[in-house]
Amino acid sequence: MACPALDTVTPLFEKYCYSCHGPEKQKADLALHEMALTIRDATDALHWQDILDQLNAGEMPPDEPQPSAEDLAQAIGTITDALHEARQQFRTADDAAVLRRLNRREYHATVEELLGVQINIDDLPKPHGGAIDTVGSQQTFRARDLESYYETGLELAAMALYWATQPRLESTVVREEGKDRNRLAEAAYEVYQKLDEMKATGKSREEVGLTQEQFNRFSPTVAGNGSGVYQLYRKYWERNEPLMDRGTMMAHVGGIGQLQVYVPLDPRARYEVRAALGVREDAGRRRSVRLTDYRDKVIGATMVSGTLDAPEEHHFSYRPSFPVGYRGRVSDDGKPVNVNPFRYHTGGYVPKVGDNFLVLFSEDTGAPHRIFNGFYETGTPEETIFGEWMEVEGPIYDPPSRFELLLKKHVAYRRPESVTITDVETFLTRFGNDLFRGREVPVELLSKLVGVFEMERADGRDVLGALEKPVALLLASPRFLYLNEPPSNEGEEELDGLALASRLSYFLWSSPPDAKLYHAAKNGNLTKPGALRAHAVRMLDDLRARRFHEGFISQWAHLERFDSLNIDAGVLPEFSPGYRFSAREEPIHFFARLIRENLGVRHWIDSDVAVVNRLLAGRYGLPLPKTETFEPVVLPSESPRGGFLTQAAFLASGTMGNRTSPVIRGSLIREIFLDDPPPPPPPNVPELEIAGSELRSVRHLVELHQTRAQCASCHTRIDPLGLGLEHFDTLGFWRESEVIDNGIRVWNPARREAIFEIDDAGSLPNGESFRNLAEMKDLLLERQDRLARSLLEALMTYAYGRTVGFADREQIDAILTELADSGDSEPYRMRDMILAVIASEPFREP
Amino acid sequence: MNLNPRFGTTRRSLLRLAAQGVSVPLLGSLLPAPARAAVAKRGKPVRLIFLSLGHGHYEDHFYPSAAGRFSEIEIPPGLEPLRNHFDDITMVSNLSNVKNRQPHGGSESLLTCADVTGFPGFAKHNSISCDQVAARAIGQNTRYESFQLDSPGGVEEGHDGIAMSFREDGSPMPGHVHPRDVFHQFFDSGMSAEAKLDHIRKRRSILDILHEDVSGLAKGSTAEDRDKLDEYFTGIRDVEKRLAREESWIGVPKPKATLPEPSPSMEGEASVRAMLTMMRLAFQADATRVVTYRLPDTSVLTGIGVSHTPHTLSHYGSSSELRDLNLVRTKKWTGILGDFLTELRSAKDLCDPEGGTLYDNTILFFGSGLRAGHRTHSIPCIIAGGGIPHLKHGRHHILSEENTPAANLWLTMLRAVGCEIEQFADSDGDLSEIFA
Repeated sequence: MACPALDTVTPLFEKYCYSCHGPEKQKADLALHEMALTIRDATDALHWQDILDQLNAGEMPPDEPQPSAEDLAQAIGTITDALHEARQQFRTADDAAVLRRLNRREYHATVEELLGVQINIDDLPKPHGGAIDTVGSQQTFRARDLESYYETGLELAAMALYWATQPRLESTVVREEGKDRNRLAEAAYEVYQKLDEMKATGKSREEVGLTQEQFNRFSPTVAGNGSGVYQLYRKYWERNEPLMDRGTMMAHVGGIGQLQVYVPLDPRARYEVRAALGVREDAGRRRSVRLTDYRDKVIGATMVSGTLDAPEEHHFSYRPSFPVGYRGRVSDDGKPVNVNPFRYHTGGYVPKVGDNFLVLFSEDTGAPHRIFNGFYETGTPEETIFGEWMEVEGPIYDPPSRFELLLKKHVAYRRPESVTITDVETFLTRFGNDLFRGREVPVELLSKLVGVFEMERADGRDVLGALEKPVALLLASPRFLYLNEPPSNEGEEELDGLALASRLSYFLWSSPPDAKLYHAAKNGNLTKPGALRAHAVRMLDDLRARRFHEGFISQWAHLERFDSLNIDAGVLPEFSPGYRFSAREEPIHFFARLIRENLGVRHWIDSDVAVVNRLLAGRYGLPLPKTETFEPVVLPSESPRGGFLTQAAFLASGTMGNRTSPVIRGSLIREIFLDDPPPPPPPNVPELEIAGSELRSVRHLVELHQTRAQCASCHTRIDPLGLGLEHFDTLGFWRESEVIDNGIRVWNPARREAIFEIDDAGSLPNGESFRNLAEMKDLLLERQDRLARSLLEALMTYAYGRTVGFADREQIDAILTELADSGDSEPYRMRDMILAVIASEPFREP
Repeated sequence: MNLNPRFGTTRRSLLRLAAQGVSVPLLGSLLPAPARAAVAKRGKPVRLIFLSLGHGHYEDHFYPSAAGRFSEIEIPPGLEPLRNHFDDITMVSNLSNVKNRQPHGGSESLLTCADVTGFPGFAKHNSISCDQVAARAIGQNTRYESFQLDSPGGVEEGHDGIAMSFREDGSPMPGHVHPRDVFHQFFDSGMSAEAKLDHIRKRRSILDILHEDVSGLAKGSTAEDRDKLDEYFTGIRDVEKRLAREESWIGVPKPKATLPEPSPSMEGEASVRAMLTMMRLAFQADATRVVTYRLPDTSVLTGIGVSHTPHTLSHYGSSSELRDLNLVRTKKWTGILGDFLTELRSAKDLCDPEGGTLYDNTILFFGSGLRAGHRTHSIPCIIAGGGIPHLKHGRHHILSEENTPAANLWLTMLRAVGCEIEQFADSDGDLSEIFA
């Protein structure tokens, strides 16, 4: 392997450093002229790191003459790159494949599939993995993990045993008329009419027909009764009265103006949700709604295009998920759902206590309304979205899970006294066989499990209860938690059929093989030529492949940055839950389409089709899809969109506070598109401080940043790339000019704003410049081989469960050559690339 | 080639540190065998508290420019909330966390002083943290050898890695994130001794089954895979140890809770205050003597209406408004620290035969591995409590050598609690110069 060279720094050293650390003097015993001008090993690396640290900290040279900023930047850049490269090379020592554990996503998918209950992934044991969560060598396992796997196993077992024996409910349609949501507001309106009458005429409470309770609750003259909110209700009613007999106007005031349906939710089922919505013509930009479930999780979001007179129907699919252990109707912190506090005041609406619910919100709830009305978009009405009705159909069940089938067959259909130890053994053997991905439950383990069952029975637990611990033990067993991948024969270099089947299914589905794949694995067909590919093709078209789409792209494209975005919706109201949901989904559906249609990697850079839902389409200025799902939309020729590069999630990932960050955007482009991740920032570079509170454009800040040699050394090769995306704002929407504010909320007089012209010219790390986004895309397209390499290496890492290093170079080059010369105009097709990974030798190796 | 790392004494070179640190330090020699006896001699318990923020502070807000008595030097505005406590604290400048090579957060190598990203190899490795060295010495006669508290957001809270406490093998010890969990650890659940014993017995039988299971699996595996399964073995052994400890404490009831059970939705400042109060109660009940806490910076900031992350705030260069928000943050934390010191001052130490307060018998560190931005030189450091015998509070010290290893402070603290050790990590002496 080539060692990174450092010859170019010698002239600078000669001129500025040798006087103290050269042939004449060796202050601090450092003789730079004798140092190796390369990095061959860890010792070299440490020596150069020390020198780099000194330069970065600005400590050397201590006196005059000082090198020019440009020369210093160049030397720092050279050493930084060489060290970075060396680090990558030395990494190969860790590339050995090691036993890997199911990561959190895989554990989640696996237990959902096998146990047949939908659970919240957040409740599962926390992962402590590396950059890609399938890599075994970067996973850790601690005592607390062991305990939490067992505890989680107990809860899961109890939950699965409960639901597997519950009857399936008849599917029904629960419908809520929008107009029924208005009773509270109407009641407030009526009471206030009477209160006004009392005030105007001097009549008594009894004379106007108010009860004492109503008076106490609603009168502003009674201290501390919270009548403020009822006055808001009243105004809401007055504003919207003409519509109130047909539906509801979605409001910002709690308790009214949302469409809300209570249904008993079943963790084995899905539901279909429909709603008829319209939007006022003068609504401005507030035309979107989101659907959320009982724990405020966004299920879908859409743009409303129906009118007040002709609402249009929208349709969402919903699969509820629950806290581990869920056995009934509870709120998100595990307590019974409270009674709706408002029922006392109206006597009208009483919610079905204890049921779970789905709510349809206007998308601007959550941000203070006055932002929209008073500042953000002057002159628009307070309520913009009309909800005529909403209905929920369900539960709609999938076929029973393996767990349920086996439990019913061997245990649950019998009377408790007739369940024999053999039945229990059979159940545990067969279900254990599923959990262990086709491998036998060892006899010793089985007898121990049966022992636990008997002990539990002796302690007075019923048959199902006594099964909790044995099932939990199976779920905490290393045979379940680790993907055991033995070679087909001792000493051989190929996985056996079962291990290969698991590797394939965990690559494409993040869950265990299905019956077909097991079948092929067990009868030896899977290792025959072509068989693996045939299964892979079939599996890529299965719905379960969504887990691969999501798991892979989230990690390769660093969407965790988007997930942890910290933007104040009070400053930027469009940063709404519906937007977050939609933007996060877009790249997943985009990737799915590239695979489905076997398109080339160039589409990541630029594409003539976007895959969007109605909310994003609306915000991107595209024609709206017909349904609530993500659909391919052909981009109009004038649209700046196209490719992952211009998707909201990617662009917003490069946001820092209330500004775009060309630094983050540039770094991401280098890593994702150019396979050239910049080195991490060095320690001890003094923070550059800019005096005063003048608002500056992002481009200006970036330029100031580069006046310091220590910063410029790397940032001149990062930031100019990010500047090419300056026409997209912090949330990834198109802008003609850049508005910089001081981070103060809009209604605060201390808020200041400045507007700057956008200039999206920039350059690549090699200095090649572009004048705008289109030219930048062209330059990236010329280098699409780098993107292909970035994708391929990440796919291999994800699929093999180990880091890909120097030893894999040849394999990578061979695959890339093959994908580039496929004889058609579209090199590096996505589906072909995935199949090439599966066909590669390491995929079959332990 | 002349690369013998004998550098002058005025400049501490990373070279030298690297030479000592790149091979994992000889930890065995650092571990304090006779330390327990030393503690027994003292008669009074001493506690160690390590409070860490991921990020540092703005230069002009937190760091006094002159050394001397607080009453005689200029006090930066961020320290104002501590004014009533100036006689209770010591500040130290020039301590550095030089091994932190990827300084995106200041907690992961703060207490270990290890280069976690060192060559060769990509996988992270760390070494034992000083609180764990102390736990071995002074944690043997308490219900918990040591206790770790953490923030809910981890990296999002400005911390790097997943813990600030590390075992001897360098494996992380993630902490309790929610005050509610801590509440259940520290206070009596009302379960009878028999029920607890029965629970432990059953848990053991479960562990036995898993132990045998993994042994069977390891038999047919390759050496690399066995290494990985070893982690699972270690997990089992650690749980066994914990159960044994739990069993030996069954006869001693946990204290009754004197504060309400924290609600599941508690977060931000309220959660920090609850954690600190429970820490105080745990000390009074002598449930543990060593606590580390990765403070939830982002949650606290969000709670006071600052929407920037601590990382963004640490790049305060771009505007004076960011710098103003830094001051809000710094004052919030020094205020919380001040209130905690008041709490320690007014809490009687029930284990102290001389009737002192918890404050008298505690050594508290409040700081971070980062000074500001990505700087690891001269980290923020406030020491409080009467646990370091020769230390007289009330001053800001500027150490005579720039970049004195933070390990020197840890060594000093470890010796103060009775560990008879020569060196900790890359320490090259103790901090006796602040004893003057």
